Amino acid sequence: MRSDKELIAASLEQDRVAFGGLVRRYEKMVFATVVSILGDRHAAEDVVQDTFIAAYEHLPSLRRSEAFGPWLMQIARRNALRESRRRKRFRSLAEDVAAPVANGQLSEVSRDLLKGLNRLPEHERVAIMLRYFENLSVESIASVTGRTVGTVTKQLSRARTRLLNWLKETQK
Amino acid sequence: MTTHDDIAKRMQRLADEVCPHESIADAVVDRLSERGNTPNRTLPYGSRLATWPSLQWAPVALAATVVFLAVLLGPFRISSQDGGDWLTSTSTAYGQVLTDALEKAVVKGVTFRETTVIVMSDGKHHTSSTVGKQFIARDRYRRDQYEGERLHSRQWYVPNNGGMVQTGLAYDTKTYTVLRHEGSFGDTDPIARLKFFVNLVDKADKRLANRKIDGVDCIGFEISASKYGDNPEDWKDRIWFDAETKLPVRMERERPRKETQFEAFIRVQDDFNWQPELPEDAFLPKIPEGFEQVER
Repeated sequence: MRSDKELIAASLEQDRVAFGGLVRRYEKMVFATVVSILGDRHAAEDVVQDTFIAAYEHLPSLRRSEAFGPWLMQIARRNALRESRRRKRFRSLAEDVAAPVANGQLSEVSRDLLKGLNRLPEHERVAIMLRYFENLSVESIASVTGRTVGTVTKQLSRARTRLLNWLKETQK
Repeated sequence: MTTHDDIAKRMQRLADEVCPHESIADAVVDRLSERGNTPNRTLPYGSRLATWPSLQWAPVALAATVVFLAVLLGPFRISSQDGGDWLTSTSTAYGQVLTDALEKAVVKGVTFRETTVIVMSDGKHHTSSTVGKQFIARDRYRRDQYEGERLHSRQWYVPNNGGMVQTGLAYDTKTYTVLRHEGSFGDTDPIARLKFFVNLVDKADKRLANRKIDGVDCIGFEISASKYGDNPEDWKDRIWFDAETKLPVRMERERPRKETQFEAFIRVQDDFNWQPELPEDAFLPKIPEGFEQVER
């Protein structure tokens, strides 16, 4: 598995296929970040694509390849907030009364968990989403993010604990 | 909810619920390719194309395209349909046919359809309700997106003062956007997407069985996507050419997704018409009454 650093280096040489590898690696994470703000999967799709396009265009401004995940999520969050503001202006009554599932909206449980994820420190969030959204092993996460296995293990453990505490809080 | 294991299970369920099962990577790469974006050119977020698949004919690029396609498509030759020697290093069969068509202005436009086919775990195929329709002219194009029979959105890309104006309609919100792109679309010559796909024939793993598609005798090839990127071996691309005209008839990209309830997703481009009868106003942006302009 190629590391983020390798894929970023290739992408900077205009290897768009390599950038596609980064998209595949992080798309679920970005999707979850965007959905957590918009609350609507359908609406998220365009924003997710736009996020990756923007990331590609601004890739030279990324100073450290190991920060790619958090950096990407900042772009995603900014794009999602912009879209959220835009949608609020045009939301119709018909949309408001549509069935949540049909409208691509999320269950309460999922919304709570997404909120918890949003409260995590960036690196912990990246680690736990790569682990469970992309099904990467601890070793693979360490490899792609350029961190040690020990660091990733700690990040995952802390993230799980924080999420547990958050969910307990919300269930009170 | 008391253990880390529970968190793991919840996270996995969340991923299933929240995330699409089909990767958007191909769509993103397509958009980057069609726009000619580079990491070294910083653009405002609003100044990029909003659609992923396109063929777009820039006048200046026409000649280059002809040469390009001749080079690109040249090294292949389809033999007679007995399955014999189908790949040689000298033939320009495909490229020459398209080159001739362009030079004689026989091909003035192209239309085609885009759909996604979902392969269920029981092997059944379901075609997505979202259907894209592309209308391509020499220097402009239009993309219509349908949800079932309902027109969902429409985008025009029309040259203007050395640049390109993108006009988009969103029928759900009754809004429209107008964006200006400076210059042409860079390396997005008229056959940008075909370019990449057809180029893959050079690396084809196998020739597919002859097949009749929409009444047309076709010759097809298959290639593993691992040959052109960091992709799994079982990702397959296929392209079928009209055995007579040697123009593409159908293209597929199959992406197995075994971790989900689906076996695979296949993005399909078909229903190509290389000499469509397009109405004169096909590429004239028209804003329906009552639509409000928004910034994007």
